[in-house]
Amino acid sequence: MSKQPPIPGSNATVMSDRAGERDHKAPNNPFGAGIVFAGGCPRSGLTLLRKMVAPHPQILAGPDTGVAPSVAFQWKNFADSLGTLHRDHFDLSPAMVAETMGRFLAGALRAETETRIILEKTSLNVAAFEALADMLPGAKFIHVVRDGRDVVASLLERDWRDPATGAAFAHVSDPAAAIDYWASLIAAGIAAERKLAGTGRLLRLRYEDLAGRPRATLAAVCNFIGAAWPIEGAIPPPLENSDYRGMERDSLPMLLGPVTPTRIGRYKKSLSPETQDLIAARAGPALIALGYMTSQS
Amino acid sequence: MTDGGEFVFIGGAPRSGTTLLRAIIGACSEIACGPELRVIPALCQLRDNISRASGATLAAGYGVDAAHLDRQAAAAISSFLGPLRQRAGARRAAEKTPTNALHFPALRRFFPKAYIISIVRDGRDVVSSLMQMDWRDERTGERMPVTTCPRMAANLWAASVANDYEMRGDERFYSLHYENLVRDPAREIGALFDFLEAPTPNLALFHHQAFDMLEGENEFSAARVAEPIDASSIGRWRNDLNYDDVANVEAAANPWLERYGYV
Repeated sequence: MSKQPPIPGSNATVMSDRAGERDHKAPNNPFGAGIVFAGGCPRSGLTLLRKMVAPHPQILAGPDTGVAPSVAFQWKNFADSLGTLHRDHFDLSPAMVAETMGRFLAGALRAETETRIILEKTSLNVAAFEALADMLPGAKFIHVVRDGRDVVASLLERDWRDPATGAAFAHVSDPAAAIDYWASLIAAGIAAERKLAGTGRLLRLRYEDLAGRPRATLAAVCNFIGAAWPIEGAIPPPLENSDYRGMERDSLPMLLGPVTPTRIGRYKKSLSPETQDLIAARAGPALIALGYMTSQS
Repeated sequence: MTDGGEFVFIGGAPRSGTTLLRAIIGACSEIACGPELRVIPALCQLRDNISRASGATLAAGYGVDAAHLDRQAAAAISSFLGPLRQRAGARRAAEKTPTNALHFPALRRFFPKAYIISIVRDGRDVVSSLMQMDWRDERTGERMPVTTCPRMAANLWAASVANDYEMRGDERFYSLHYENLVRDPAREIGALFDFLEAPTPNLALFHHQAFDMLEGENEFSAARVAEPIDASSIGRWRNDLNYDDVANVEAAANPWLERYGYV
């Protein structure tokens, strides 16, 4: 797999690979066009992306719904366990079942009168990117990545608990589980990048660019999803306190302030050297692949 | 957007005679009735889960309300059933999955004009039959609790019957008792097709001559339904269930057993 040249002024990259163009390139105006799924490991900047994109008059960037992974996994279940039954007795081809579930999902996110581009950013969308790409041939995807060490530092500050037991989740209480969680979701995102390489349907977006070069990166995002840039006319007001829902509110003080790069590299102060070594040992290849570490570090 | 007048949904607690019912309805050339499609309860549950987990977020953040979600679910179900009806050149498509019964009210919301048919059987006989099923969880390989625990099986029966009861008064809803169907099939089948506004096919009484027991997957009554109707399974629980089993079933389901005249 190779990358297309970076979008001018930004480090965001649209994945490219000629071999992939044959299989997954979006046909002209396919269903799902105008829907963008963003995903990535929690604490990677998805809500920051929403904060920056939401004021755009051509984009509806709503809070996390969790709907896309649920529908995608249900479709996979139908396809894997009932495919033969559906084909033999109901004249339902795999493509028809995929399209039906894709239309259900697209409909669930778009009100009849809504004409803007929909951007939905449930973090676990990333685990369903590949299925969603099959269900909605016109949909696009933004894989948000952040240095795994900063993600772990942020995860370990969360108080996220299993409602059934009251116990803290392992990925917010145990450094090894946290970095494994990050690595597993990165692997899912990279698998989707490979599948969609060359189609122009997937953008890898680094948190560090979003926070460090917000204007150029926002331009790249708008260019990728087909929204005008720069915005012409009056820009609607930014999101307010009450616009953030659920776990988005964990980051409320930062979200209500200006975009800042101060959280980049925070792990150097937050994580002990032992924890940093543990992360390098467990997720070094992924950190190197994403450019966060070199093989000498 | 369809009002659902071309659809017939059949449900009931598993082991209540739903496969027999589909064989009878499938004898009518105007109604295409395939084996269990096995997606409708999952779609109804998915629609319900989306509302419970994200309904407020969808409404506030995306302008999507419950009625809109209902329309999306209805469109999906229509897409699943459309090819069956077209292939048969039939006026209607019928779908029988027992656990449709757990979603009758949702199906009515989705399709105001759909025909919904429920079959109810003595809960003790249902539990007795369920205990003989070898249904296993695909992930664990373990037998499903409703085939090993009489109380859980009775809970499933009660949940199905509760929805049957809730639908009473709906003019496009029809409920019949398994026991009446097998004791007097001619009368019950005639009434059923009157409800469906379709002529009673000659084959309905001899459904076993047309029924393809190899059609579909996991329809555990297919071999039995391929035989003529008989009433020999009524009251089987007296031989199959022990005292404790019966006590467990009655503890879980007695109000419904009484309401439906079984005790």
